[in-house]
Amino acid sequence: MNALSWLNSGVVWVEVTPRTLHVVDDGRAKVWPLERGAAGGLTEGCRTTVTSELTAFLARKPWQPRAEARCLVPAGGVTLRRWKVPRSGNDETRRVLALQIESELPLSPDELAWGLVKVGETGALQDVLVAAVRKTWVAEISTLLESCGVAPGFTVAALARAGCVVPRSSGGAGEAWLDLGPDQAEWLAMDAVGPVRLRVLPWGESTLVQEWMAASGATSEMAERWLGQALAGQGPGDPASDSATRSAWTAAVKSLAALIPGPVPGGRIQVTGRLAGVASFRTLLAEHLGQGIRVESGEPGGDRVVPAGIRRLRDETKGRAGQAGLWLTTKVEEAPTVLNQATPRKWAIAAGVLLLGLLLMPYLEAMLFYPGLASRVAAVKGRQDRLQLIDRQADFLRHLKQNQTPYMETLLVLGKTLPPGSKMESLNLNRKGEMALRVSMRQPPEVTAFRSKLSESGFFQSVVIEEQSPTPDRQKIQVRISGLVKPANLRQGLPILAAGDGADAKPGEPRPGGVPGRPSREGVPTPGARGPVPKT
Amino acid sequence: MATRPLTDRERRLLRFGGMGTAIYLVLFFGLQVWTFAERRRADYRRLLGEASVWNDKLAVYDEKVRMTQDLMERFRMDPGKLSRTSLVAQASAAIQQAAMQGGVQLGPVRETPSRAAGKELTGIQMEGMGPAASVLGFLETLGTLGFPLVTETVQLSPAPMGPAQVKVSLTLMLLDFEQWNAAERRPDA
Repeated sequence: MNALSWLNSGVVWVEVTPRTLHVVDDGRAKVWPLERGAAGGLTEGCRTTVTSELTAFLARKPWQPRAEARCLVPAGGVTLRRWKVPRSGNDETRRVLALQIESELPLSPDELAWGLVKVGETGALQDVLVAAVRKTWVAEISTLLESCGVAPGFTVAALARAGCVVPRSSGGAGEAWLDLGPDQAEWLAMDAVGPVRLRVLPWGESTLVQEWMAASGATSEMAERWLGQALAGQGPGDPASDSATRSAWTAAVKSLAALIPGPVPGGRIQVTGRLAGVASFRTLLAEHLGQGIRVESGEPGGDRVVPAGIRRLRDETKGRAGQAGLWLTTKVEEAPTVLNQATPRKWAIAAGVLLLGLLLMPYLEAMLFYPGLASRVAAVKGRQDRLQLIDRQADFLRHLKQNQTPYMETLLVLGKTLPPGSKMESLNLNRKGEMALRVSMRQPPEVTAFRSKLSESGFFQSVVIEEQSPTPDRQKIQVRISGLVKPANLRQGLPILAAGDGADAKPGEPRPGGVPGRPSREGVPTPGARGPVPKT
Repeated sequence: MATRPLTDRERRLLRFGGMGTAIYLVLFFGLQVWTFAERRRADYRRLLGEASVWNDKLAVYDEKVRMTQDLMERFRMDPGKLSRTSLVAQASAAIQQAAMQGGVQLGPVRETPSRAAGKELTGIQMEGMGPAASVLGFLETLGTLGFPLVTETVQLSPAPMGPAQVKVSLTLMLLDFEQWNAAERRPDA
């Protein structure tokens, strides 16, 4: 007992016989009778009783891990085979043996609970002992035990008694193991390598009782008492006590000797069971078998209340982790479904990996790209002065562009609007777009028409005729006009600037001096000139 | 020396001890790794936001640079390469050279002191006369001399020498790029 013992669920040992269920847990042992129906299965009442009582007996806490139950099953229905297969790993060996079972046994591996243990090897081959039993047989006990809160694993009781469950070194000339139960006996023959044959013999303690009852005419209650004395090897049960007893023992042992299949491997029989302790029985059996066969007790040490198979297997597996050795696989192979098929499982794993990647990606992204991004941002920040220079240059050039006096554009507009025969005396223009024009014309209506054309051109915000007066000779009219040119952005795209003498001019692209495109000086009036130059 | 095989209880004790230690180590170092990763992620996101802001800023500069290059080609001038000390002399010489080559006979040329508020280096007043085509050609070339010249006023009038002769009076301003600050908005800009 230590501080962590409360976490230990321990191992529950179970031996199943056709009529009883022996359970050993933490030094305590209890036997439940098993009632079976006509079909051989447990009755509902028996199952309910055993489940409730066994659960109470085991007394496991709900928070404790599921206890492991190591179950020993009787020889009835068990098939034992020994095959030579190539040496390989456990999985590969199991696959090869599954094929062997498929070809040599009447049932397929899927219908069987089967296990294997290596018993020897020769060169590239290994001797493997296989035990198999119909799966439905162990499934019933498995369900019963699982409902009691334990996880069962199964092996064959006869092999456990003979010490053949866990791998062992082979040796000796062989021997036979005879287990004598209340109603039947189990016979296991072993050669130098390991078990070769397992039989159930229809002979048990009940046979001896019946022979004594027949010889003495006693009742069944008297017979039970007599058997107790006989198993103790004393009193009226002693084979040498009286003639009736002697004849009963002789008849029973004789029938047993007749049932034992010969020859006996190694000339030695190890007997287990309650009768194994009766020396006169062993002697009598040896006498009836003859041929110098020795009959010995194979009972291991320990509490006789615990079945011999459990005692021996418990001793052999003490301190070992897991279930090494011959344990019957009882897992039912599930039919292929979408979830347990190999490919969907791969996809599920891939999906899981992707999901994990999705969750981790932001962190991985930060880890991977942070240094590069930080250096790039630092580089951009380091070139801020360059950006400021660009800002300065752009602003400076834009200012230069927007503050040019639009003299060339103004001259172009005047050239297109001045009436023929008029003379431009002077032109003043500043960069604010303020224009002062002196021009002489022939007729007063020309002044009005000229003013209208200037206004309709869209080039000027305002056009004012400040003074209009005839010359002293009354031949001409002198006009003083002031105007305000529209800002550059409002002048863009004016038809009067686009279609004109500047053939390669593009609307909205003023050049220094305010002329769209490359200006042609033809058609542009100059002071002192008479009227506009005709278009070519 | 042969060692004693461990019992089930000892194995279980070792197993639980190992599991406990592993859980502690995972929690201890896992927390540190997680904290570091979370901090790095937060820094990365902040940096991403900063980079996005810079990206938007630089996108504006693409257009600005293109426009600046166009204007520099148009004016045949790189403001950053203008030498302030000799700019006035060079500009004056270039103007007079252009007038002579264009057939314009220059009259008096006067330079006026700069106006600090206007961020102008100097003002140039000049008069000239010549054939109308030459005068117009001269006016056209003023913008492409490679100097930041702004024509303040233009006055055209007939020259007394003949009917095809034109007299021109010009007031030019030479801008000073070194005084230029992009953050300031000029009132007349």
